[in-house]
Amino acid sequence: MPQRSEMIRYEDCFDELYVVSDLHWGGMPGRRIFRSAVQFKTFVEGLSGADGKRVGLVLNGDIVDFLADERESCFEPARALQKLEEWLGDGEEELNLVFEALRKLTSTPGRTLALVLGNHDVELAMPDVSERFLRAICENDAARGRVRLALDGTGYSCTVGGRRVFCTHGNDVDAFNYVDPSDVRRHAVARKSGAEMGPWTPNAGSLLVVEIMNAFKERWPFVDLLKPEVESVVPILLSLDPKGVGDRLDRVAPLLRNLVKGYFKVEAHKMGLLGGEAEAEEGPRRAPAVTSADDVDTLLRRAELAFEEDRTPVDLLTEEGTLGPFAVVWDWIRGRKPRESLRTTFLEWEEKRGSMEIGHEDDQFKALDAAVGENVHFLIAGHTHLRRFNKRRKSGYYFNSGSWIRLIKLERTFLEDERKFRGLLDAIESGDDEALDEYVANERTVVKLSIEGREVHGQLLDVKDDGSCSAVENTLVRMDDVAAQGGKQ
Amino acid sequence: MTDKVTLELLRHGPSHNQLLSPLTPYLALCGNHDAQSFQLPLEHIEFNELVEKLDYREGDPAAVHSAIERLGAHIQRILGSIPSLATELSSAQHGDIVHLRLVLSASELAALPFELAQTPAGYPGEGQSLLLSNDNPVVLTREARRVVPPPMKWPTRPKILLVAASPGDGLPVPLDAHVLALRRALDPFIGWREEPKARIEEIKRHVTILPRATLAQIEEACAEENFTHVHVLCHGREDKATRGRETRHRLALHAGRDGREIELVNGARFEAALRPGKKRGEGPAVVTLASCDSGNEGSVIVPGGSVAHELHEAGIPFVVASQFPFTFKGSAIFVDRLYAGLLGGTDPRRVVLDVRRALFAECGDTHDWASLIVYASLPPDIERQLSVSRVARARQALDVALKRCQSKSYDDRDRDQLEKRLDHAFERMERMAREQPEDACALLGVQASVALRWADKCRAKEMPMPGQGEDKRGITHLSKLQALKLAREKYRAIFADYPTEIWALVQEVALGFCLEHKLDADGWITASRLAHIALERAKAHPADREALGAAHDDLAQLALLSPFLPEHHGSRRAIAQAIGQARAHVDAILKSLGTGSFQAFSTIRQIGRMASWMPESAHGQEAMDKIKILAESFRGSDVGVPSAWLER
Repeated sequence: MPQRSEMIRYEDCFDELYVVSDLHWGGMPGRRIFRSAVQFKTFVEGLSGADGKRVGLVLNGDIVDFLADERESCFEPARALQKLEEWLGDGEEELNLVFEALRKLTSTPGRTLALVLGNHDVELAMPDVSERFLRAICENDAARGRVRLALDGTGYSCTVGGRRVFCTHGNDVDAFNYVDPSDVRRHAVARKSGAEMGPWTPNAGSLLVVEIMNAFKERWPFVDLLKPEVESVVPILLSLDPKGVGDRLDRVAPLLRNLVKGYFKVEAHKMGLLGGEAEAEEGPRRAPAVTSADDVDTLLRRAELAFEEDRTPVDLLTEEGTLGPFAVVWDWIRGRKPRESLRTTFLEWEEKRGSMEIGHEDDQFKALDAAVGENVHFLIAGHTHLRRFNKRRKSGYYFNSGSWIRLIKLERTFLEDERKFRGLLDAIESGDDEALDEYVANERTVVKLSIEGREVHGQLLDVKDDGSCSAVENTLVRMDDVAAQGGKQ
Repeated sequence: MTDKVTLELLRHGPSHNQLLSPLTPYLALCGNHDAQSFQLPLEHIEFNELVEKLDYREGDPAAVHSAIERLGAHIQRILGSIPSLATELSSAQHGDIVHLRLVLSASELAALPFELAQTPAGYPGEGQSLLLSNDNPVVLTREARRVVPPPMKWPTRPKILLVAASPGDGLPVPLDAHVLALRRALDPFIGWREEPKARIEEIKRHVTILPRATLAQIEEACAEENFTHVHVLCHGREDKATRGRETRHRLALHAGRDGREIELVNGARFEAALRPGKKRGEGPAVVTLASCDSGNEGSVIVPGGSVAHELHEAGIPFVVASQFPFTFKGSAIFVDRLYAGLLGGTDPRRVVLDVRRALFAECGDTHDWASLIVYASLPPDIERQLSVSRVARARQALDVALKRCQSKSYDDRDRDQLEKRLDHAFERMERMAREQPEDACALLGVQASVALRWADKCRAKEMPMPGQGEDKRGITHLSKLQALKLAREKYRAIFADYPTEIWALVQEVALGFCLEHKLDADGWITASRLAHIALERAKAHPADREALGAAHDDLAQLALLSPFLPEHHGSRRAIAQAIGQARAHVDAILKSLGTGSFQAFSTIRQIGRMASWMPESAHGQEAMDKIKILAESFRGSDVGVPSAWLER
């Protein structure tokens, strides 16, 4: 296996690199959340001109959204294959536009298309599904040679002007949405070899989408805008319909269990244990499930201490809840009216998701910054749907390519204004998709890295309605083109 | 005192497969009144809609309160349609509480939350919640018709098993709060140990904890120990893996080799784990379930019932559970109050009333108070058993309180607190002697014994002199002399009321000699004659070894006093003879009851005490020396103080 320095020699080198993510193609007809096919086509065709440059386009995860479709479980390769066939059929004009644009790109010499796995399109990692996708975007073998498949969960790396670039979707530092690469590999092997696939362990976010969110999309279209799927989505839905969601709460139990697993796997990932998933899966750091005598002694010691401090059992309660499956349905007991509860849960969701301010250092940036090596000059992710530009702690820069789907705009100041919030609630409860327009942003973000003279520039771009691009303010960064300077950094 | 009212509600047919309907005729039997027929005022669908609002999913407190009121009103109408019940309830208001036994045969009736009942018309407090009233307190327990009360002994020495589980889904349970609650409830009965580690070992003698319990662990623990109380803390989960996929509520325990999986356990399987290889009447007397819906009947279509119902049907005498969701806070108050009462020896029905009222008062924003449900099948002599248990627990608490006053902490720092505790335990004993005349003899005997032991402590330590600590009440303000006088009064009172209790007369005579330095010859002769009669009777019934030991004990003590009868003048010969006789009686005790017996321990301790009671005269000094030698001679042998007696 090549060492890191050797590996760089084998990576794609570009004059220009464009990264987009979270396109979320697909979904149930009439309720699709990707509505920018025309703009995407225009944008991609703009990259397909014959200018002699080496240009790369990275689709950085969640390219298609298999989860958004009607389905019975979180991982259904056969159904994904069937969906691709349907989309490529006659009646799917919008999706055909994007495939057509990609076909044009892959047919252009000097152009490279990289596909990175996300958490909504895991089936793409299956050999037959990826093959069908390739056939849809490549007209011939030459075109295939211009496509890079980074569908094993390890991300995509390349260089621009000698500066290293690493693209990863970002869900591998999100316990709620972690996709275990070893699971993906096992299932890929099974599909190739015809062996029994065995069970798929869905992450908590996928379970949330499939078991709960999909069921409420028709009634509340805004549910689709709550991305990424973080823990606080559950309380939002509960606040809207405690009974309806509560009836599905037995499906939340595995969700929580898998969330715990996700935390371990993310920790393992951060510790560089991606090859040791088996150990992480077993969760060796968890307290053993069956107690030893020492556990009892610890319990009694704590009780003894509390007793000596004259504390009561109620003093020791650290959380509220019930001794049943509805332990999470508790807000109303604290005297909150449902609407008030919803506002609070939105605030919690907003806090978890992070501010919309581009320079905000969110949890994903912090986790990736810590996990990714210092020799990566441009670290590019997606997943949160919030575009970002941050300077990394030690060296280099972080971009988040946001999303191409609609994005709910809920800043803290808005949520804290009761009058404004009431308007949003009315829009939500109306169930009318259009009524939400006022509260929704339609940003189409692109990360562009390019060689400009003797420098490498990094920049966030906005793709406008007509498909043209404009720079996002205060997101330009310049680095020396080390390739032009003989490799001196 | 508890008045009992039994209300039996019946219908034709099997217990299951019948929905609530105003069309179905039911039969009510109450007291000796004629059977009365009645019908229900609601349909099953309305019942379901109302109960659904109580599971905290609606998110609307007003809807919950409305549902409680409407259900309460429905139950009131049902109970109000049975005139014999109102008559019985009205005529039963003589005791402290009215115990309403609700005997049910039909599953759909068992599903009704009778605990929400509003007081029916014609009964004081009409319209208020029937089970929350303190003026006319009513405690409702449920019984299945076909359950025959098991032959059981209400525990006098509780041994608790705490079963906790939060498997699989990671939902927590408030285990620390529940462990603390049990620790608090056990405190009056835990022998004091200076070292925390030793104290924890002491606590573990009273309570066993399974923090992540599997059914196999429970079975294993119950096979090894005879637990009297089992407390369960886990989440309740719906289970549709029943016939017809009808819903039942189960306990969610750990499962699998490493306990990581989840197992939904019904009442019947849980009971089997609680009583492995046990006969009818054996096994825990009390099972308490801090688990949502553990008392919820679930589907009435298929046979079976709630976890609590099934435990009751399988023969657990007293089961407390929750028929609705149960909050963490409610569960913490529940276990705290319930076990403080149960372990303290309070009537469990009174305890349930107090717990319900506490939940109502302290968890005002929930309906935990209404969740509480009790299944009880108590034996006919339960009142007597409870009295015995109460006396035993009071005695154990008093003993522990006294021992703590004899510990190092007493001298170091906690004197006030420990004395207060001892005074409180002693006063409780006095109060019980007044309230439970049938147990007065035993209670007075314990008080006298404690007074003697306090006098022993005064001898061993520097104690408050008379006049010191006059602001205090209770035994701890007494000097040695006062304590001895108190003990003598108690013994005298016992013999006055119970002339067959010869040991009380013996003690009264001995203490009189100690306090007045003059032996009551008439008393001594009477006691001696009675003790000899008792000895002859005991010899005629060799199986009754305790009676034999008691007679020898009395005679040994009387022998040591005999040199001071007027005719002996405390002569050296009489002293030698007395020592010889006392030794012979003690030897007889050791031979018949063994060196590890309480009687042996008690007699030798008493001989040691008597040495200090000898008069300050030449003969007295000689007698004291010889008695000391006698006492020491037993200590030097293999007579030891069994650790078990330290708790008696």
